[in-house]
Amino acid sequence: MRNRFTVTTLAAAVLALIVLAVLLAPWISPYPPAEQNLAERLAPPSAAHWLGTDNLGRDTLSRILEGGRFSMSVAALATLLTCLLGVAIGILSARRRGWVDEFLTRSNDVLLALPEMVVALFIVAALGTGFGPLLLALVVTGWTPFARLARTLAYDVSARGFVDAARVVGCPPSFIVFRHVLPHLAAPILGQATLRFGHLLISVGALSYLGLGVQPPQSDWGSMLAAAQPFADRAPMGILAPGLVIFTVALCVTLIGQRAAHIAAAPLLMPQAADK
Amino acid sequence: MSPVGTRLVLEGLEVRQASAGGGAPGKRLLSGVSLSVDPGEFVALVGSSGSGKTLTAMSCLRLLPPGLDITGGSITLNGLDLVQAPEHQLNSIRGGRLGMLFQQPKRMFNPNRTIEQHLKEPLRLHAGLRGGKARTKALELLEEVGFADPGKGIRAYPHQLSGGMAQRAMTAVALAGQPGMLLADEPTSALDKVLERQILQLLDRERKERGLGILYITHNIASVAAYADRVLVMNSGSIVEAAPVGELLTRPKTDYSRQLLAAARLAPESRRRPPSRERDILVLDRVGKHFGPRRKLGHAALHDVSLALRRGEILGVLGQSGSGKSTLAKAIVGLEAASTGSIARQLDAAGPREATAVQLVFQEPHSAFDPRMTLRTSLQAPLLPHRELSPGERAARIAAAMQEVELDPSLLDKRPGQCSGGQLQRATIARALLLEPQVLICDEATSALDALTQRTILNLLLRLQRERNLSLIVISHDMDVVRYMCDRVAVLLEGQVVEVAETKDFFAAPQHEHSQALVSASIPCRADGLWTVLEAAKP
Amino acid sequence: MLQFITKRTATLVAAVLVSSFAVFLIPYFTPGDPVRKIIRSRVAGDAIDDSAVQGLSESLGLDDPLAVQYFRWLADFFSGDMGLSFVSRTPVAEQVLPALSVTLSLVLMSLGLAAALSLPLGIISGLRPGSTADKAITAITQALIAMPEYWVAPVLVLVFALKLSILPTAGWNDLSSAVLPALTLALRPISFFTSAVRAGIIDAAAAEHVPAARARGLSQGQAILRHVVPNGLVPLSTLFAVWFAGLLGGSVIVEVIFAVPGMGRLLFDAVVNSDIPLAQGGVVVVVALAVGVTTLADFVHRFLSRTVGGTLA
Repeated sequence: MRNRFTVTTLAAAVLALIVLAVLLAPWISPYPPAEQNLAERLAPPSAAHWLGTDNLGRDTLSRILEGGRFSMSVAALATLLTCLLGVAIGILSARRRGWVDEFLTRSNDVLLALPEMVVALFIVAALGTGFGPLLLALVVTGWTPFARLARTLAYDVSARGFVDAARVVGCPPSFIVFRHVLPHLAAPILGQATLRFGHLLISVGALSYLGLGVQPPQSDWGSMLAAAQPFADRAPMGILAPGLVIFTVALCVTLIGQRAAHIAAAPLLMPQAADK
Repeated sequence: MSPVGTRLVLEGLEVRQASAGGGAPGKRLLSGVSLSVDPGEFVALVGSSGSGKTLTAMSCLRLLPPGLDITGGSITLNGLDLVQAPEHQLNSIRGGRLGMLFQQPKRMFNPNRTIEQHLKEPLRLHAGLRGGKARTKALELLEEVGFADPGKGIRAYPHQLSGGMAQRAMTAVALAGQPGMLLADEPTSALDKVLERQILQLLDRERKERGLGILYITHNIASVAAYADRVLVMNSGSIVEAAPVGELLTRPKTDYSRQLLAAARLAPESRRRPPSRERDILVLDRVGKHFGPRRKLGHAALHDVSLALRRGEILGVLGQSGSGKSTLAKAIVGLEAASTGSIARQLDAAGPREATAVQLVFQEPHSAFDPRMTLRTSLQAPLLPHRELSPGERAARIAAAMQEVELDPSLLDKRPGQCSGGQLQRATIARALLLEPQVLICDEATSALDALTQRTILNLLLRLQRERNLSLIVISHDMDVVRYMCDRVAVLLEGQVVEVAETKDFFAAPQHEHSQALVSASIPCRADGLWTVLEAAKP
Repeated sequence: MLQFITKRTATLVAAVLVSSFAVFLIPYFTPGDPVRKIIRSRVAGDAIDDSAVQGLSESLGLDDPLAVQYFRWLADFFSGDMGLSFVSRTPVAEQVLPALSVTLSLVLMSLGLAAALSLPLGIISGLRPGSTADKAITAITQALIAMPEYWVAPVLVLVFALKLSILPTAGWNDLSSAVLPALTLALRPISFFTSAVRAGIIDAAAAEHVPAARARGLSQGQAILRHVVPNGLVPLSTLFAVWFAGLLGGSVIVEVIFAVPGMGRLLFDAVVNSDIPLAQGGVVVVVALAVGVTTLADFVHRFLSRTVGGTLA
């Protein structure tokens, strides 16, 4: 128990550090991220360039700090949107039942079966590249896990006596949704949201890696990786560093999210009978 | 041949939780449990839940849950020390000489395997039978335990069996190893009275024919009276009293035994008043409820249910699980819309909002409250739509309701997890009273409670009925509860009302076949004093 | 059961119709003149002069109502006429089908690899939760989820192809060229399968029928072998199908990095080159296949849970 707690704490600390560094990038990065220094192309890590330089002699560390903004903000925004959308749909589904539930659940099933990357490619093909299409591509398929979880949980809550009890004594539906259902959803949904953030971060990187996300001259971790790949043999740090950052952030949120989901699964849901 | 003449002896058995480290011994769960069961003897081990009965049985099999250890005493089976025996020897004893019956038969089968596969395990391990021979023997066993069509039963998966059939199959599996001693852990508590009697008669026959020794674990005093030779009373991990059945039932020595017995002896209520010919307050006219193929488990349909509840009356609805009792309760309070027919409320005009004039008391008090809310929040909720009330008036109403159900106001700041089932059931009633209901539906309101608490809740309901002139519908599978509480009885069978009668007439001369089976199976111990029952029911 | 099958099949058809309709509309909401684009996907030859457009538009029925055009397009599509690629000027079907077979074999290899690894790992982990082995395996599965393929793949290439020179960097020629793509693609399924098997085993081991089996005289090992492991693996069947569907369209990155001529690569090229007919063909085929496999998995799950007596709701 104690062990897991420290692992989660460590993950949270590392995550906080990375987020802070990315936010403070303009003030703390050692070089302007776009500054080229052709004399020092593909330099290995050194005291001057902690993570080396790329093929144009730009400082890799500075570019990672700058690139994180795009990756993380898109992923965070997409997480927020999918979470709100999914929870609303899930609760609606569970509360309305009948054909509304049937329709929403089937749509969910279908979207879940659609390969995420294919949908993203399709949207980019149709609407072109950029921030908006990228966000749309992530949201269109991304809400489904939230809806599924929220629906299951809301169903579970609704099946328990206290919701029936509330209905019998004449509590308004808003009371049932906001006081009974949502509080029971909060922790598992939060856990899911952190897990999804990690997943979406990787997806953003993937689309940028393919050249369908961030567009030059802007860059993010995925596009940096793609740009450095032809030179991987000479300057391996160019692919190692951005990938490692994505991996670290994704791992940290996964650890935190699983811990949150774990805590959420245990608690008050199963009351201990206190009968003598 | 079966090892006839198996004797089980426990001496000073002690079970503790594994110490949490640091050398301090873990919590003691069983202390100094001594008992013996002779060949062909039927020994009952009674006590309320959590008293350590099941733990005692699992200790005999050396199958304690992880984290629990036998820390003292001995368990011997025909002189063989089971505490010291090596694992491979235990494997040949478990399910062989020492069999076990479990409480929830359905959950004790592997859902992915057929009854045949379950039966063949002990047959192979303990009787050395395989293939065709094992199958023949398995069919024999199923026939013996009362399967009408063993050839069909043997192919069934556990979920395809009814509760009664599953317990029969479990009995067949237990008998397959030809045990000399059977540990029966509440084998009938999930079954209705008719099935309970059949299973117990089956076990009784085995002991008479084969000299099977039985350690029968139960909290059901009536069945003890009918079958047991000796009774052991267990409380908080110790045996507090041991006596022949007649002696214990008539002259219990400890307070705890007296409590258990008193709880089992619900005298029929001396009539509160002659059932008056009041007008009807609730009329159900050919109410039907149909579910599509996606119906949830536990939701049974209703067919043309016509019933009238008179004002100030207590009407009992008697039904087994799956008879549609809960569906009926939900339809009456409006949680589920009826598919056909009508439910008319003819309320007193003076009452509050019509929508909440019919209230429900739930079966599971723990699930009737949101575990995250304090009782105060939960009790405030029904008053939310009543905007005309000031905060002070609300608090006063809640306090009054708490007082009416005899609950301490300090409980209001507790969460459901910190309260007992009895307290919560009172709180459920208080919550219903806040809305000044005219009709109260009690859906198995006391079946989740122990006998002592059950009795106090029933008396509370009776008092409230008297003081507020409530009309009550008491829905239950428990004949004793219905007999104790109700003026009239309606019998629900597979969603249909098959009989409605005055309580007295019903128990004296039930008309419908199903009613007759129910009445004859409910050993009338609580009505006529235990001794007479003992005499009458002893086969 | 019959109603369930009908319902799911209806959903399947609806899904294919809706997604194919969206795909059909691509020429209309992408930049440029839709009529010209459609003609270009239907008529061989490179330059079409303005005078011919009117005639071709009529002969192709481009003035018909959209619904009519859609169903004509769909009928053509499923009879094998998926139009002409803008780039290669060859029929799309001739590109899609070989690409599909490449992706199918890649996905099957990955899933086979994932199953082979995650079964033992999950069982070891699930039988002794909290043990050192379990902690190590859980840590690995958590790490695998967090590893982006576009990072793992270049690193694997760097190590095995460029530094050690024991495997080819890219291409799709023999088995050795399939090792790195299959391995990269298998990472996430390994993680999910292992967790699923672990959870399944833990659930199965906690079931009350296990001590009941011990009470019949089965040894610990026999009880695990007969009553824990088989029950614990039931959920895996559905997961396998879900991932099969998922990887069909999820292999884009891997195929691009390793230059595997599969569906992912095809879709990517189509998007990059604005090759609308090719994208249409690829998307519809992948989606139809994915939805089909998922539906099939639902049937299998339904069948299994009927015998299991799981939720009938």
